[in-house]
Amino acid sequence: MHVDVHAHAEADLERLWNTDEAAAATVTVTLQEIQGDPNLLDKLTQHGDNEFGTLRLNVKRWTAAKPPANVWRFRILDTPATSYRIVYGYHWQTRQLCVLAVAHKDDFDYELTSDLGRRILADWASL
Amino acid sequence: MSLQAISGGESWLIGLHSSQPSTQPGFVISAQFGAGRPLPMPNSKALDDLVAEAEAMPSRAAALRAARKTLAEPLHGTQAGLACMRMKAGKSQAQLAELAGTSQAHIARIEAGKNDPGTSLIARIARALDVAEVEVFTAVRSIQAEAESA
Repeated sequence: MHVDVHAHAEADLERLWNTDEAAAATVTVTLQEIQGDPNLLDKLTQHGDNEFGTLRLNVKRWTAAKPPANVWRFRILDTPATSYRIVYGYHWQTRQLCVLAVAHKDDFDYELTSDLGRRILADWASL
Repeated sequence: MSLQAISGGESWLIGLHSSQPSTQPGFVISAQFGAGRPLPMPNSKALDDLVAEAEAMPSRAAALRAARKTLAEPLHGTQAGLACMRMKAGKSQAQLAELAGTSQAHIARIEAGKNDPGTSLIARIARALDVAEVEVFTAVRSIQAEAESA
């Protein structure tokens, strides 16, 4: 299992490094640990509050996406990164997870018509 | 008959086969083969490359080490496993692999209890994490027992 980061999400993460280093490091390390442990990865495609040890990740599928897309988001609860939504798509055939956006929860509320919503779906469709 | 290893368009002679028994001293060669990493998706970058770029910047490297130490127990529970031990040392799987002279995939499998490291690798991991060998041995055995009972 491998994690890729789309160029747009890379830019999101770069902005986060420049504004909130602890949050950026938390997101990066969490993704890296998920990549290295199939048990953790499995929980990223299960809707709900999933426990990774005592760390809680709130995982939701973006059900509003049309046509239905295998696009999800997680939040890392009780950490410096709690306010950020990590949006990702999972490609079943290649077993690759692609991070599509890292957004503050106030900036993205799953609106399909928002600039970010359109960007995420367009990026996923292009992969 | 010759046995050749081919990689990146180059090939190396790594052995000869003869029907006659030989009294000449020889080498024991071991190798690890894997499927390798698929190419990143279009317009994307492998997370490992992104992390490597961050690790090259001192302040980001320090933030990553701090995040690993903070997340070690929450992420890997209270289990006395190697993953928790590694993160408490502020290291990624790739960093530990490099220091211990093995691959990231091998470290991942040891952490999952799927590979049994020999004593020399246990010693190298202990040195890399600056802990006693017996701690690594106990951590590895503990996660193996957990994996076997699952």
